[in-house]
Amino acid sequence: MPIIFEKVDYIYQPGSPYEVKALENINLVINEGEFVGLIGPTGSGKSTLVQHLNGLLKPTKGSVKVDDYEVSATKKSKLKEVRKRVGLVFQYPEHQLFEETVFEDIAFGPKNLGLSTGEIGKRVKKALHMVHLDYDKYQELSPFTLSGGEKRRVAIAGVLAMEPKYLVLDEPTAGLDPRGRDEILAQIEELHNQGMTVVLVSHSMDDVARLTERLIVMHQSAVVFDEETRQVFSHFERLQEMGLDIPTVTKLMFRLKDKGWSVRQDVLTVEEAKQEILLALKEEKTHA
Amino acid sequence: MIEVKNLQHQFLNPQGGYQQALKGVSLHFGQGEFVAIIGHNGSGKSTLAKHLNALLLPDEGTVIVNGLDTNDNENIWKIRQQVGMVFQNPDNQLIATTVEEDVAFGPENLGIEPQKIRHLVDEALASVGMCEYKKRAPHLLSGGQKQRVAIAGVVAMRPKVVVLDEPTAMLDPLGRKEVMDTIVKLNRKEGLTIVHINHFMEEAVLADRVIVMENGAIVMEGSPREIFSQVQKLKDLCLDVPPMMELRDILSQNGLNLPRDILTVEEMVVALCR
Amino acid sequence: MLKDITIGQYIPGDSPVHKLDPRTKLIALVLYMVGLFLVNNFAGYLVVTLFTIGLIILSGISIVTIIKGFRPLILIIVLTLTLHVFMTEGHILWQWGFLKITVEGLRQGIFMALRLMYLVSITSLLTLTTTPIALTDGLEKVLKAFFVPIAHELAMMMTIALRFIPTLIEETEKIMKAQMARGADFESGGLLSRAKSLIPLLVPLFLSSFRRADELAMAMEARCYRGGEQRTRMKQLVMGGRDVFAYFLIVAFLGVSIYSRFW
Repeated sequence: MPIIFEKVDYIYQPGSPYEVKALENINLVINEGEFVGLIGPTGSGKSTLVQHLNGLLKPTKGSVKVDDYEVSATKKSKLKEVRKRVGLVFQYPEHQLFEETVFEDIAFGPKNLGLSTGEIGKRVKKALHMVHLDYDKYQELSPFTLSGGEKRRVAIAGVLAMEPKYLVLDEPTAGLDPRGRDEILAQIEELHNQGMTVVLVSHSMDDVARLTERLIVMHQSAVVFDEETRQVFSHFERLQEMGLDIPTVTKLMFRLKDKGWSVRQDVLTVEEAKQEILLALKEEKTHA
Repeated sequence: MIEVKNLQHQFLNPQGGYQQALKGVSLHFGQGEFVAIIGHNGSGKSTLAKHLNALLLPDEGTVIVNGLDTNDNENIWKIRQQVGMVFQNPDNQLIATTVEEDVAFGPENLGIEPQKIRHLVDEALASVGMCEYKKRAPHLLSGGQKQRVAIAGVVAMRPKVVVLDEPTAMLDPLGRKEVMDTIVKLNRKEGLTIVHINHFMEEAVLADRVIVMENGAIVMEGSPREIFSQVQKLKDLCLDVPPMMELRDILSQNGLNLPRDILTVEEMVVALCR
Repeated sequence: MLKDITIGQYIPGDSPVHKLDPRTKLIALVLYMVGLFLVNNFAGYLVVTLFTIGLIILSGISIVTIIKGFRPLILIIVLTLTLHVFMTEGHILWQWGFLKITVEGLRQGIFMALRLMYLVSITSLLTLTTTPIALTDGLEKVLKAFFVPIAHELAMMMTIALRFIPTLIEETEKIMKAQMARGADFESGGLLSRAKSLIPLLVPLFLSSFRRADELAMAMEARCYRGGEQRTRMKQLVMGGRDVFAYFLIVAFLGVSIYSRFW
């Protein structure tokens, strides 16, 4: 079942002198199995929106439905049901590690769900496997002796152990070097291929271009674009005005088009650019 | 200006045993240079940075800053005045309750007369474009603004060299741009020597010279174009390659004859349109 | 959210009280407290009341703001009042069973309650009219003048603590949200289970604080910090005629307070 936002507004500290409207008339549907990207400049409302996905925030106006649960109508005690279904990984998730062993930390989520010891054990094992960390090697270790990248994976495993249907990740590659970034993104892609619905919040156009099928662009508390990723990048000027960038190769295609080349502009990777250019050159040759 | 000779450093591994972070590095930084040091996490670049201002001392080898040896205890404070350092976490560098108080911290430590400090603070804030924020509390600033204040705090001490250890790693794209613009300006307009440690190649291309580290040693050294045109080698080192360089590479594999050092979109357009 | 609230929030202003040197204000506060605890009769409390109200008016801070400062202490004030009213021996005014109200009790109760309220008022006045920097600077100089060891370090600790309070509050919120996303519940359950539920909040917070302290120390050393020796300050504290007059006033107040005991 999808996640549905209907006419959602969110206001921080309503009625006070510090009142701030963070979300304005958000209407969205996120279907199971999708890989959606969420981009926008800082302050556009991305993190506010994301916190509505698992009930950390409730809309001031409008409704958010997760599966059968109407989030605003859900009592605090029932919010666990929502959080079972939507797993949210914050930025720098390794900052939430606190237990003595990797096993215990990953077990925190399942424990909060009231699962049996046997079930918890199974889930921890599965979660470690999903992040490519060897169970026997890591489960007894203290999370604080691990490397940065390993810590992050343990933190993500902690959310995966809740067995969510939807996985929302806020800048999962923040602070990582290119190698670390590639590893995490590969894992996220793998999870998606195994059936997880993924919402990826990112500042990196290249990451988002590479992985997502659909892109939601936010600006000043509203959704400005909600289309196929390729389509979004064709709105080059509008994106620039908002302070957002497009992948370098896409920029190249735009410039070539300006110079009279007949190339597609919805190119996202170097490989695609190469193909377009070679194609265009061949055509020129046959016309020459 | 700074001479690094055969620098070696090892530290204790939390999982047991010693790890060689630097395996005999030799380098030279000249006045007014803008040097970028790139490498993935664990390559030793941050460890190297901390030797330049004597936060770490060599196990073997020497680091000489303007004739001052870091090994000599007497020199430490003089060295740290000449080689300023900006760190990765914007929050964990600002200690005062207002911006101008924080920028004044360095000069105050140097025992400079109060009138002069006022002057230094105002100039430093001007050079990073943060004058209007001087009475603001740090926690109300954006990441990019905080880092600029941190840079001002270093610049106010009138160093000759500014070392920046992954200053943009925790910032959003706007913040990264603000910080990089500031760094370039400090180098070009004020003649400060810049040593910029990071792993974003879009930032490394702004430097005069790029040094690539791997496993505690220098593996590549040269101008940005020289370095980034070696696409395969960079990929083997798990580093990012500028997309235009990569495109140029695979286009030439398909028979196109293109100049070796295409870095920007414009250069590619020009090359293709010929 | 809570970022905008600082402890003992400073309200900018132009009043004579604002303009006083922080050292004057700190010393005056101490002398005021001595006077406040010395008065013990109606005349004495009249002097204190007039002086206190006079100061508040002079500072330009509204009475409402001051009274708001009583809120966290309402319980203690009421408790003090009640205890004194019901527990003091003397001429009985009213009795019901073993509960009795005496003239002396009423007097003591009101005096003690007033004492508390005036104490809170003037302390708030200090933080309302003095910026945190001026406060810590003033404190450092006063402590140094009284040869208190590690005066500089104490002041530095205060400054850093004040600087990081909003940051720590923000971080606590972040950690809470991350743990709540994993099903943590900080709100329901009995006292013991709520205390236990704080562990996933406190451990990461402590860890990050240690890490923060480490990085901060390194950044401070990189900027040549080596303790208070030979440090100068950009902002100089200078005493003026206003301060001299203030000292005169507070000493006069103290004198009258002592004298009032013999009226």
